[in-house]
Amino acid sequence: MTPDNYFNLLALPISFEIDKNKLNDNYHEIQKSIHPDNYANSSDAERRLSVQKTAQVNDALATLKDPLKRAIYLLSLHEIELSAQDNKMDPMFLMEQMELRENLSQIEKHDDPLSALDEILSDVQSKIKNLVKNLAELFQQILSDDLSLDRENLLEQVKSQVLKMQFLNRLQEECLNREEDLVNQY
Amino acid sequence: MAYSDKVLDHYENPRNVGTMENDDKGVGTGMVGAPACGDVMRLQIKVDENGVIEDAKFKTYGCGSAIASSSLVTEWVKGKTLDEAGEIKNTDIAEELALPPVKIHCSVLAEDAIKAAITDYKEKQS
Repeated sequence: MTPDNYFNLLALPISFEIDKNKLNDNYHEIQKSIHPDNYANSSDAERRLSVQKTAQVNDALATLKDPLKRAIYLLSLHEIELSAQDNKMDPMFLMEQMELRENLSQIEKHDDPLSALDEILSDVQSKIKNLVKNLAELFQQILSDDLSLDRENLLEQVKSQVLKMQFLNRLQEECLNREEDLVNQY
Repeated sequence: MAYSDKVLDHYENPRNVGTMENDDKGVGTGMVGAPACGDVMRLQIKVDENGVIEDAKFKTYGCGSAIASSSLVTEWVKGKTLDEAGEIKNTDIAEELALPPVKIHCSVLAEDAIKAAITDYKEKQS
């Protein structure tokens, strides 16, 4: 693992579970110390370095505070990259996604569309929560010292959870968009 | 992003949207999804006793290009044998719809969907 990975950059242990307060505190502290304003009277090279570092730390924060991005980043630290060709999804999962999408598209036919939408949204959110929980458990094993574990297999499991989460995040976005439409409509 | 006229046509007037009875032995269902954009696509074929696709239906939740790709494929496969339908390439779809490079994966999804539907039909026969 590279010494300047995002976790090191923000002085956090490499882990899927993150102390959000610490993440924010560390971010602000580091950002303050490397801020380009501090280097107004320094050499060009130093100023450039400070700008670069600032951008890097911003990327680190954006990546680490989002569970999906964090999981994808942790996979990349294990040399696993996701590609657009990863379409091999469990048919049962896709069926369920289809059903949720269908329900969402018919939401206006309900007597109370907003509460029907809320039901779908909370279903989606509880599924996301479950995936996050699974990811935490999987990464805890992957990053542990236990050498007997089959890490390749565990990483594959992470990947499949991540792919599912991409669908659910998208669906959640869709729900929130619909909610906005409905609220504006009534 | 600017869609081509053909994509817009399929998007505004999608052909063959619908569902077939999955329990029907003559129906093959292909279910695919693209995690990167969250698109889901269902493509179904009804095959007659001569192995010719007599009808096709689809339902896609996704962007205009994904809807157009699946709509186009349902038009193309009607009247084709399973082998002929299995030869449809994503590049044919992308070319017909003039898809930009960032939307090529939508045509890949449609190719995967028809292949999955054919496989499902064949599995049901054995």
